[in-house]
Amino acid sequence: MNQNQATSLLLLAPDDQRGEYLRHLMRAASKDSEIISAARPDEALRKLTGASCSAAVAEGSDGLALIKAVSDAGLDVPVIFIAPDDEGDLFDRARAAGASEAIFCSELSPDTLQNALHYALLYRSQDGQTEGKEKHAEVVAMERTESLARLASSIAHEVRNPLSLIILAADFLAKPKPLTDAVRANVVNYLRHGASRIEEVVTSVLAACAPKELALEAHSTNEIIEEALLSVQSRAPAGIQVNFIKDCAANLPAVFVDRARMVDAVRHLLTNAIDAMPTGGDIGIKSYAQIFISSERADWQREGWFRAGDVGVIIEISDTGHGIPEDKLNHIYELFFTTKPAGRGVGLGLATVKKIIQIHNGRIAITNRPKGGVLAMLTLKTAAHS
Amino acid sequence: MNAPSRKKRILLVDDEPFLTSLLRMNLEDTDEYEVREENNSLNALDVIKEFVPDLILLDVMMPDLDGADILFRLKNDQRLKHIVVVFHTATVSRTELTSHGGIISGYPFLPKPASADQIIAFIEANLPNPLAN
Repeated sequence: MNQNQATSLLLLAPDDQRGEYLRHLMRAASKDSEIISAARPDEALRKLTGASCSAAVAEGSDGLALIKAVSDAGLDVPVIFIAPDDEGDLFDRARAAGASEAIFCSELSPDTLQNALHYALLYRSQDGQTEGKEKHAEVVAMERTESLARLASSIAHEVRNPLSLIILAADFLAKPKPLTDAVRANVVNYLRHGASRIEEVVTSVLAACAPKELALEAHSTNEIIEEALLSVQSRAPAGIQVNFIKDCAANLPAVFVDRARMVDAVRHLLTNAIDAMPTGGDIGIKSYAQIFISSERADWQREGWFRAGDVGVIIEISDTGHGIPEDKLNHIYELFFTTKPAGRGVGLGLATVKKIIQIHNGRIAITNRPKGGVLAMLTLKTAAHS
Repeated sequence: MNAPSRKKRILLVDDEPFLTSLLRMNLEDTDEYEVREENNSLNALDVIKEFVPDLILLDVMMPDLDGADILFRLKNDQRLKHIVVVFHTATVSRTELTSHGGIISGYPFLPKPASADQIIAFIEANLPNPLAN
């Protein structure tokens, strides 16, 4: 591609300080380009069609709408999407809808934007089409290789520790000596613990990577919560006080879900809450129904995810732990990303939860609470509105 | 007549209590070692000062203080810096370690999982020589 070629770039952003900031970044990222502004997706689409722009930069839910409109119109214009940091879901949907590149706000800089524009233009350029496709394939292959290497390394680490238990327990039992029943029971317990940890790793990997078909039926949210709670009762280390404070609304409408998977999702969130409080604390578990009205969650409404009057069921799980460092929030749904110490998780929990909620067409939001700790919020459609 | 030699003191620092427990059982089985376990890395330095081990078998990835943090603090303490430290970790593989001759950044590493015999041989190979000054 000819780097000196003058180009026109479109910016879809409000005509305010935020828009001015983005315009400034685009100028810094692509000095020779003319920046054309639009404040609404329909205006942006019109200008893209008329002004033969080489690429577009768009943010938030308007940006997602533009990506879809560009795709529907069959325009060959790459759109670089900027997602608010707390909208991981929007980020994923933009990529799925065909965004050339998606960047979280906190990662936005002249450099990241320049990089994204470079590949977007390379990809589009007539001369550079082959090169661009090859480059893209190369990047995808590299990301896949890195991701696989990370996967292999994480699994290896998580399996080696329990394997150590099994080998050392076997070595201890193999040496001839009198054993009391208590010592034998103890060693057998170590063996079983090691084996079940390996089983847990394998199951988690499979759950995160290879979802099976869903068995959707109407279920009680509170029964799902109870089942998940039962499975994590012994998770807290001995001597550590974890209080489960329940505030579950009675007579909630049923949700249309795969029960085992939804129990698994809630179990992962509870496990994370327990692990986030190594010295103990409170876990709040709340469930309630909410009638959506048209003025709330404009992004969900725009996506057509709910209609005014639809009823959703919300599960909230909060803890009083250390919270998630702000710079890590963008990565919490990534496979094998973990803030936990060795032996407490491979970084599959939230990736699994997100996958489960996505395939149920639900919504997940994870934020730090102002008073400390984390709040995880799952929003599910009720059986009547699924 | 030679004075009876005391058992060699081994400190196990790892955040996995089941693992240190099994290591201790295997080491004590030989009747050669006096073993102490510490599963909270924040307590490790206090235990080192009190127990004064001949060798520390140290995990790498632990919450609060990791193995490298503990090593750094130990080596900056005049009274403790002579203590031998070896690492026992799941973060490196046997193949990776072989290419480094079993030593990374000047410290011996033993990859997990290892058998009791391998761990004992590793400890023996790194214990300070009693004849050395």
